[in-house]
Amino acid sequence: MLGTHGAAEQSSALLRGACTASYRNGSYDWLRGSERALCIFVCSAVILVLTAVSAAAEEAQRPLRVLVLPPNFHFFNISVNEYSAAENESEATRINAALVSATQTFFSTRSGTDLLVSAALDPSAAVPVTQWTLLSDAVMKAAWNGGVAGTGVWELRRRALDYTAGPALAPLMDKLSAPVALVISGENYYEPTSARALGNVASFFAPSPSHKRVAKGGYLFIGIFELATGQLLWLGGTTAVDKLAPDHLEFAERVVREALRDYPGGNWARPGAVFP
Amino acid sequence: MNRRMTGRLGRAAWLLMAPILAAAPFARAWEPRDWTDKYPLTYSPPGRAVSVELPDGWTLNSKADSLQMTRDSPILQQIRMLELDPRFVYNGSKMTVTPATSPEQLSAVLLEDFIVGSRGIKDVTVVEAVEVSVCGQKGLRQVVTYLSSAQHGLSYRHELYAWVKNGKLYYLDYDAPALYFFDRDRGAFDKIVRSCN
Repeated sequence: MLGTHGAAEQSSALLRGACTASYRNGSYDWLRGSERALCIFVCSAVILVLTAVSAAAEEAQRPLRVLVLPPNFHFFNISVNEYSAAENESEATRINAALVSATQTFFSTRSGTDLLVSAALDPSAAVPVTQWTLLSDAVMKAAWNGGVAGTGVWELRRRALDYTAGPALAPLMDKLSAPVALVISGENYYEPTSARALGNVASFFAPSPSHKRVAKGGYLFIGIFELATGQLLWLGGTTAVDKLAPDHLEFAERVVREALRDYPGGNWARPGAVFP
Repeated sequence: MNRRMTGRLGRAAWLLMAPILAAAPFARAWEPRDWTDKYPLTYSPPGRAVSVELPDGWTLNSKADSLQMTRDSPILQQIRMLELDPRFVYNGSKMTVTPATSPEQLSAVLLEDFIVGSRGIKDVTVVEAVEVSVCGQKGLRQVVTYLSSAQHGLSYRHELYAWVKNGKLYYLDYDAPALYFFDRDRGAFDKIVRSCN
């Protein structure tokens, strides 16, 4: 495929050779004014098409730069009697680090994506980023509960629905030269086997409280959002996070692989390519 | 199978598929059970003392015993209208809200009711509580912000109108994440409030 430079050089040669003079029967005949104008018009059109095609080809070959925002995965320990759950922040911190590492591992085996981990973010952006990622989790939940995933979240944009978290992080797009952000969010209500055994004994003797038991399990979402608008472009997820001991890296690699199983890969989110 | 037969089957298949294909572009994603995008143009609570016009393009909880609407999902935006018994248990004592109840008292009662009724909210801040005219009555407009524990600390904004009519307390509220969604969909809520009569 021609590069932009190649197309420009070829175009000027084309104009010089084709529209200034034509070589007929061993001598140059100068083209008449109207013929020359038509010739220049046709050649210019050809040049424009060549330039656009080569620019698009170059853009398609450039990896898609994806900003990985701080993950928002919450971990809860279910109590022995199963009627309450306490958030375990230190465990969540370790799982979140493992989720980022697992995401990097996943994309390291696939070309076309340049991951930028959010350690590069300015600390002053922390509060807006946190609220925006919490909102993007709610947006992904809404889409997932509506039975929409993959690029279907974008297809619905052209109908009535608008799964977007808004443009609050748009300034990061220019600052980091990243058109899209990757958001990881989820939760896991975990009950260790030993606690379950004790819980069964305790619940046998204890009177039942009026409120419901805490449900085990959880979810993990991975969403690709356009930074300029906050539009959700792609959504993957899994609810297979129950019955998993928090062996962080193994856990993270398994759920990330599951959530990204249908990821299109390559520079698919190039503006105007897949999503006109 | 001959070509004529194949052609007939093909046409029959297209006739069967056509309504499905035609309907596909209008399908909504947010269609969990009990929510519908087919609802009447107006809503009146059981007492029939007031009526509001409903916005287009939202979905309505058909199983709720009061008005409950959303556009994308209840966690992204929600409009409700309730008709309540004006007797509240307030600070351990019974209190009846009447048209003479001051906006400050009504605000305090409804704020406590909102906090007790909404499980898992924290950092509740009253942004505004003012006396207004709503639905032809003297009433209260109150705006609060809070953090939702269910959404792991996402900040929400909640706006409500409350007034008393024919011995009933009416409550019309709009709840959405403070970031982006509250402003985006507030127009629909404003229209409902303005249409109230």
